[in-house]
Amino acid sequence: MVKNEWIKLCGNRTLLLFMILMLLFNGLYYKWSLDVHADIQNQEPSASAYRQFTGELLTLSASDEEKLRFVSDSLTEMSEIMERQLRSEMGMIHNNDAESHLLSALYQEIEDELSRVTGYRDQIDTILQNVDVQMRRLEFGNYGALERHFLESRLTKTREIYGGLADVEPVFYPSRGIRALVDDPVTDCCCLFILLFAVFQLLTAERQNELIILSKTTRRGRGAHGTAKAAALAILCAVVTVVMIAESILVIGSIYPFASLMHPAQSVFPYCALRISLLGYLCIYTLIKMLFYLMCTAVFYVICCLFRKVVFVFFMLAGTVGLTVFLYLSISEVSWLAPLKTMNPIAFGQAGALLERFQCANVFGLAVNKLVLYPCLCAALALAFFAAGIRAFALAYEKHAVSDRFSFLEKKKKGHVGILRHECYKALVAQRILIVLAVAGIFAYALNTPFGEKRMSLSELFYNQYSEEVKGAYTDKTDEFIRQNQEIVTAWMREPGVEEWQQITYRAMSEALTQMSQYTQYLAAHENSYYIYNEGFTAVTGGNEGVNRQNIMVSMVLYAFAAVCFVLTMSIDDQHGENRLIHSTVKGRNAYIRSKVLVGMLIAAVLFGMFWLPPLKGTLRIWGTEFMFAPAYSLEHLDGVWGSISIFAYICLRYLGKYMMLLGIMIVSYLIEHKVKSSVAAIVWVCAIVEIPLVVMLLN
Amino acid sequence: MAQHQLELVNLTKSYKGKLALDHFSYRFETGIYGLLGSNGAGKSTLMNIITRNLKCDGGQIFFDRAEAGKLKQTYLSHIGYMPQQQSVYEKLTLQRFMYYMAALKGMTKKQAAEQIPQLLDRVGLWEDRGRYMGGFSGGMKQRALIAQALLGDPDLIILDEPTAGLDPLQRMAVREMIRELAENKIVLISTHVIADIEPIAKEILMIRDGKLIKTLSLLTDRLEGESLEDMYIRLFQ
Repeated sequence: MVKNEWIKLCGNRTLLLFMILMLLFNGLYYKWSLDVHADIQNQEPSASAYRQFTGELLTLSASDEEKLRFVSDSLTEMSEIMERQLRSEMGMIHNNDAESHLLSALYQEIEDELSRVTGYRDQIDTILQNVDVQMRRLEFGNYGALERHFLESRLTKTREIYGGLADVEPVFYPSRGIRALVDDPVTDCCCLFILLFAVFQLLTAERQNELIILSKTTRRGRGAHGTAKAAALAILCAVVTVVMIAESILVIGSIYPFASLMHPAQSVFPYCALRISLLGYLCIYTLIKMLFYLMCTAVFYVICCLFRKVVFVFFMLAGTVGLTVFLYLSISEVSWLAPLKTMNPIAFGQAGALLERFQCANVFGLAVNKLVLYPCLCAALALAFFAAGIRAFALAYEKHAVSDRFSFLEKKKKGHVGILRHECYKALVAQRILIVLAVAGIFAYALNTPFGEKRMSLSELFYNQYSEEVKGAYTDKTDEFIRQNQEIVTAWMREPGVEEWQQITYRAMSEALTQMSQYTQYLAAHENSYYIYNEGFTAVTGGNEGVNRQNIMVSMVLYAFAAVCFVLTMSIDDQHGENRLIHSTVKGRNAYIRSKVLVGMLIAAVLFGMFWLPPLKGTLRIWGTEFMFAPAYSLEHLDGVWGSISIFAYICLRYLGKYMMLLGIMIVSYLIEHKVKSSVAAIVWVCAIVEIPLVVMLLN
Repeated sequence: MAQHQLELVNLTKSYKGKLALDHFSYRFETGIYGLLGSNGAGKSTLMNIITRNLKCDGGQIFFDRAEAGKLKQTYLSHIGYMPQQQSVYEKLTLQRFMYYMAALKGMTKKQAAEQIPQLLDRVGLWEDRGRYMGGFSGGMKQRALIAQALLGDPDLIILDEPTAGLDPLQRMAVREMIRELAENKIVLISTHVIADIEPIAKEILMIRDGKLIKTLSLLTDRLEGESLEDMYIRLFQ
């Protein structure tokens, strides 16, 4: 039976296509994010420079200590050159110095890597000394019995583990590659999307097509069938994990070639608590990830077994994932709610973090190594969830009769022949999109955080004050004002007997005026420009990085809801082949599609209104709308904006773009649903297409 | 009395190289026609092509001597179709479903309000109009689908297995209803149950492997002594 279920999975073309897409995406993601050119702003040397330099170091026949000396000397030399340059150029940093900075950053990175290796023994000694100190403190400290027992147990284990690792001899190993591999959320997302899709295909889609009812009437169609499905999913989970990690290793290896994997794991992760090679590290990492994915698959399985309707399956999944992420991200490790963070499925899946250092969990006063505890918990939970899912799967099929309680009211209703009205009813009421929109409204309310006042530094405060004086159309008077104030501040600074706090204030004033002067230089290059000090405009026009990141997170939630709504709007006509009936009528083609599009536009408008308008309104209310009709290029980050378009027009266009994005998702959802003819498959497809790029944007 | 004509010329359709309809040609005039054939003979493919749910690989359809492709939407306004699958919206009440179909057929509210009670009464579902169709039995769904096919007084009625799932009394009632309707319409009925079409059909078309292998006028050919069932067995065995 397992073989049959496995054949079903392997023979499912949509699933295979989806897997290929996810694999491609994962590979391309690594290629894009790792094979980077030098980033001057973040002082990040290019991948090729790192590859070349570490490659040269590896081929050197010198010891690691000698390599470290060589790199440290190079770094010192570079620092001296840069300092001399700085002095000679009166503190001005030119672009041609950027290369020196990048090289310095590269040397620094390699020096850190070498120091980790050469200083390994010292680090272990420090840990052991700390353990001794804490042990002595414990003797005099005031602790409860359980807490004392835990601390003692933890310290003893720490001493045992790291004492036993003192004789490990790590060697220099360029770590960028392996570090890029571990705990990458994009790989996790891709794997989980594939497994979710597989569970949907094997359970919800089969149920939708009423195939499960058929199998349930057979001798082995209940418990055994459910077990076979679970086993097939477990096999798929193992295959997906291995394939995805192998692909990641291959792609990463092509950018940062792996040296011998037989070196001790401590060469890259000095606090790793296992005496294993890097190859062993990768194997254990894969195993932990596999158990984590298995547990997630089991959760998907039990949800799909318990809930028949796609809408409820989606809500349960979204709720479970949302709650887990929320608890993991929002709870502090020192809070009394910390167990909800540490005993959280997301923590279980951090295989890299588990392997990086020895960590303990307090289990009734006993220090249990998380590296053992979490994978065991994952396996136990996976078994428990699968067992619960199989039990739910084996239960007798219960068809909930459609209630006719209000049929007397329905009889009295007058009919109408408006296709749009009928389509609205079908989508909003019959497909329960109204409920989805209501839940989306709750999310929108929770996420509605207009960009408000922030804590300002002293120079920002002065910048604000000075800007109030010159805001408006940019003229020569603006420059004159800045120049005069600069002179005044310079004079104050030169006055004898200026105290330190006054110096700080004057420096802040000077910084603010310099910043203003830079802005006016920009404005001078543009005709009819305005001096604008309104961070609200900056935020709503995409010039604030923090707000942009928050918008990406809001988009992730919004697009998930949009995908569900649009797919459900379309799928009502595919459930029992109603499309055939519709297409044979005179208005069943153009007019019908037009109505579907209008319903989609209506839903998009409601979602847009719920998610995007309140923060916009709130931000503009806080920061005001003065000079809203000034040219958009008056804002520095809108330098490239064409023509004399106003800020107002730019905001309108930007928000129109957001609405158009929703319409784009509508079209994609309609097309995919029409093609795959399954709401489940369509929702997963659309979510994968629109969500994963957002995850990448968020990570970068 | 208006006389209508549906002419199929060399209709061909294949699925992945397998011919489902092989140069099918026939001219239908006002009256009831039965399509007989084993499973997979090509009956449903033919009906789907006539209702333009499927595109044919070759051939043409003429309705009242005008090519269906050129008539576009007008052609569909002549059609009343009842599919083989029980394609009903489970979360809509019968009344809402009928009005929805009326809307799709381009009927006015007044026309719909006149016809829907009559049709529902005729198929015995008037009292159930306020119920959700998800709670209907198979026979009720079937009758609802027949009722919607007759909405808008179409000239060409295509019924795919109309009596499947009906009890003997209902089958008789449906048969009588079709007979009454067919006065000035073309009615195509696809079925496996010979007894359902034998008393009412003007002609029987026997299809095998996508080809029309025999046409039988029940007014003349039956006089030769062999029953329709015997003939079917002889031809298809």
